[in-house]
Amino acid sequence: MTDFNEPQDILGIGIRNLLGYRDSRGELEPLIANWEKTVVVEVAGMYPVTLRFHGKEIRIEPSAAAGFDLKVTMSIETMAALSDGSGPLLEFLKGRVKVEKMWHLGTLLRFLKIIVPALRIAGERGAYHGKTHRS
Amino acid sequence: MEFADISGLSQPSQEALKLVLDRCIKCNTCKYAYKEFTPTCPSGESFKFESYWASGRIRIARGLLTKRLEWTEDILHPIFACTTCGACKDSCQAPQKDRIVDIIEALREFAVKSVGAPARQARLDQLVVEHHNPYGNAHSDNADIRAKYHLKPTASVVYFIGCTSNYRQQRLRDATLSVLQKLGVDFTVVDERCCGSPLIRTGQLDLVPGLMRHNVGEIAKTGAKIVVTSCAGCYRTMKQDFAKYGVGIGVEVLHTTELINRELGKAGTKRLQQGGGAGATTVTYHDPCHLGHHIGLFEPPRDLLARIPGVELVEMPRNRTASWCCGAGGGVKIGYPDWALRVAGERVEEARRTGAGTLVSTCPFCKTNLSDANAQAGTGLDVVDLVELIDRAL
Amino acid sequence: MEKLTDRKRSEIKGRLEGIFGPENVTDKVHDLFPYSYDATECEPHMPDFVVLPEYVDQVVAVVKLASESGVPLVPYISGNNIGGLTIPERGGIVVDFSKRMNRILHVHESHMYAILEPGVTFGQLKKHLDDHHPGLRYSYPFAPPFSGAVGNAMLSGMNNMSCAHGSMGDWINGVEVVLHDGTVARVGSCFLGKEFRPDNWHSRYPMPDLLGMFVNWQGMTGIVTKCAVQLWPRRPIETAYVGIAYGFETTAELMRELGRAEVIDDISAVSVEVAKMSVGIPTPIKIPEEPDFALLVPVSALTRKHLEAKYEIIQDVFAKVNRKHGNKTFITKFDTFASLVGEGVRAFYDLPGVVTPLVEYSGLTWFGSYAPPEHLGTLFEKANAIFHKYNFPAFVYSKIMKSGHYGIFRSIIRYKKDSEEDRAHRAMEEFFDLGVEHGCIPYKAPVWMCERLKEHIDPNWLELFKRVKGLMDPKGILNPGRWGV
Repeated sequence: MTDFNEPQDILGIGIRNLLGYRDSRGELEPLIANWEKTVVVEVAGMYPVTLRFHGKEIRIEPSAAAGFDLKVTMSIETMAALSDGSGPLLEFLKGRVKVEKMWHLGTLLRFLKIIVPALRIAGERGAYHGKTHRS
Repeated sequence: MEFADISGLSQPSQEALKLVLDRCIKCNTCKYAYKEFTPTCPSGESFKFESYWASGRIRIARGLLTKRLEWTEDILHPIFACTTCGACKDSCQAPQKDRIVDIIEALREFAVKSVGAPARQARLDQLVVEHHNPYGNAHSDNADIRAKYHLKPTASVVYFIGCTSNYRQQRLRDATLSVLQKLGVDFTVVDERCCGSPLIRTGQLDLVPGLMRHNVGEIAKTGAKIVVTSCAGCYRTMKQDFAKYGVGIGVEVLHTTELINRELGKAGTKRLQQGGGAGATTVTYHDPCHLGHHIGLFEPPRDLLARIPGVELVEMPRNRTASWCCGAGGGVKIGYPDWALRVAGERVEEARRTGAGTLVSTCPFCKTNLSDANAQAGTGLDVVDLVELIDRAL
Repeated sequence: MEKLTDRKRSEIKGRLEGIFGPENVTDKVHDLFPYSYDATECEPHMPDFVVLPEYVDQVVAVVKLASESGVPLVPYISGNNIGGLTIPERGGIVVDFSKRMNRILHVHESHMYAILEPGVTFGQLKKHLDDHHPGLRYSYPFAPPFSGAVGNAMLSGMNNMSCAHGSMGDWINGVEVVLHDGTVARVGSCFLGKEFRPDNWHSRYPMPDLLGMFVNWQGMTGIVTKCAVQLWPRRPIETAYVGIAYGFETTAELMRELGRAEVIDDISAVSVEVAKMSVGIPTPIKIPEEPDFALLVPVSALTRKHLEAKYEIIQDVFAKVNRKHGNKTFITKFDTFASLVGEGVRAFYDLPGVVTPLVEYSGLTWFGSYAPPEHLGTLFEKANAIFHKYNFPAFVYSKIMKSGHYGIFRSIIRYKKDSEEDRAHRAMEEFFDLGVEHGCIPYKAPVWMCERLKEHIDPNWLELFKRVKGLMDPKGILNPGRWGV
């Protein structure tokens, strides 16, 4: 199991939960093994969160770390679209996912491999015809 | 604010009682099954006043702890007229939810140390001192069972029979022994004493660590890695209370339903016969509180029932976390026998309404009280333990 | 009330046992104690007796006994009002309805109402409707399921359809009430006919609205024994959205605009700290970058297209507010939000249920008020400062009621009863002053708050209030001490 800190801010909690879904399925550990990277995720209009990957640890902090390896910015609507099954490439081409230091292509692809399926799990858990929606 | 001196209580009780100062607004969610909104608290439903529900007991504990209430004979009734079934803890959504039964048991220890146990429950302590079991039967070291079943002194599994099965529900004990042998389990039995459950439930803790240490020592002598019991009370005690009172059991603790499921899952195991081998076709299942509400073990008994070809399980409306107690636990069977029967009577009637012919449980204590109520009501239901069904089917 | 002599106590107990049966009467101190206080900091008072009625005749008999002996009566359902309203200020007899007088007497499918006995809880009503009348729905507050539906209606509680339909007090079609001398009167359209009939409780008007003599009177003018509450057609589609907002005024404006759009069932705004409390952070600290509020917006619709149209309108409202305030609000589906932030937030939507932050400790108190919507932004900002001053996590809860005719402003403090009560109360006093300064009117108000409120209101209103009270309860036996009278 991955060793997380327990973030206290709302976006940090969200990202912790997202990664936790994958971790509980045993999918996270192989993806982050020996991946010493710092990724900043910014929800447009809100604030940036830094994810520090180190060994089996992930540290989530409510700020943008200097010297990050990758920064991904998207809106909450885009996060919702990804969780509903929209492809990250499509969202990128539409300009809804912005990437800084895109030349770190391997880092970008690995990070998308971590986060997009996590968003999908969240989408499945709260599907349109899910727990809340009664029709 | 002045607080009562509770330093003479056991450490777990002190910790549990301190919780009542900072937890529980009495939101009343403990009063019925969460989201099902069905009655689950035998004590509250019977005696009605707030003092008979979990949140009311927490208020009584707070009153005693802050010296706003004084100890009287009367106060023992709401404290002890509770089966400690733990339905309240399954309903409660607050942080103290998993500690509610601990709080009630701590309150009982507080009562015992302050004014003594109610007379009927106090007998349990005397009987265990004299006979090592709460029924007052002559103690058996189980040598006769070892001889009859050719059990060796060492084995990989210890079957912890429990006093109720050994002295009151021998059919259940014998069925368990038979099933273990039919399944080829390498097991033995030991010179066991009361597991401590009836004493813990009634707040009489003085003997408890000694009983636990004796039983742990006897189990250790066999070299077993697993202790299995057919008694839900013993199971809860060994699974949770041994550690709570600082006695490490050192082996895996299983209920018979867990072990039998495990054994039947192995390749080449004997298959169960159609209809349970004894005509039980439609059954309903009563969750013993010490397995269900207390430990959360709801599915293994149902899985086991599903393994018996031709047996159909019809659930009672109140099942799993919403289940209604058999009425016997928490010292109620000895303390308030008439009320215990009324509680069981409600469960038997619920079982009858399912249309099932057989009421199955997985606890000798439940079986005793449900059988008593069933006999009184004359429903014609067959009340059996699941292990008896399995024995017939093997 | 003067302290009862032993002889008088014994005599009253005997008469109570004659009315209710010995098993339904108690004067044992340990039985009385749980009724002596509630979650709030309101001063505890012990009752002298608790009784458990089952029938109206028993209520009539106990009212006559109280009238004759001068012993106060305090109606009680579950004591969850967060206002000390069931604490027997002057001792007396607590009449606990929730245990035996809790039948759902009738649900009228075509007229869409339910006639309830006073002890019916939200959970019970929900189950009954789901099981037997799936085409109808009631609505539920952020209260635990074992809270009294009638009590909440009689005290003008709010619910999860309040933006569309307003206060629960407006949903009462009629009541049966026992007056101070034991007279049983029916108020509302049910006044037709000499006897109780379940089929004529369809409306409250057009006769003189005598219900006003009982609604919000906290049991001071009569004891309600039946209450007809309006039900609503259950819509085929029910869902919810979550808004996130930066800025206090932005939040308030968003709420007002959503209310005026008239497409949502309800809107509940809570401090962002509350969302964090519900996912396991009991004492959250907000970082400056975080949004200030989360808004739950339940919506129902007849068809998918109906829902889509409503959602489009809701999105337009968010866009309009963002154009004005600079992209400071966001909207997402509730399920997505719950999956992201944590399943704990589902309790806010899945009602009746336990909103877990409210049950964290042993104490819970609030300044709850009906508020002018235009002042909500200021109230949020100033309340936030008070929370920080007293070192409690911010817990503002606010609603827009009846499309925006009025709003709800509530400052909530969860606290440890035996160590933090004084601090909680001092904060409450400041919340009260803040609220009244901005036109808020406390509801389900505890005695101390009513006393302070008197300093701010029309003295002739108070005179009228006292005269009505005197007329309705000449011997002062009906929940005396409330409102300090």
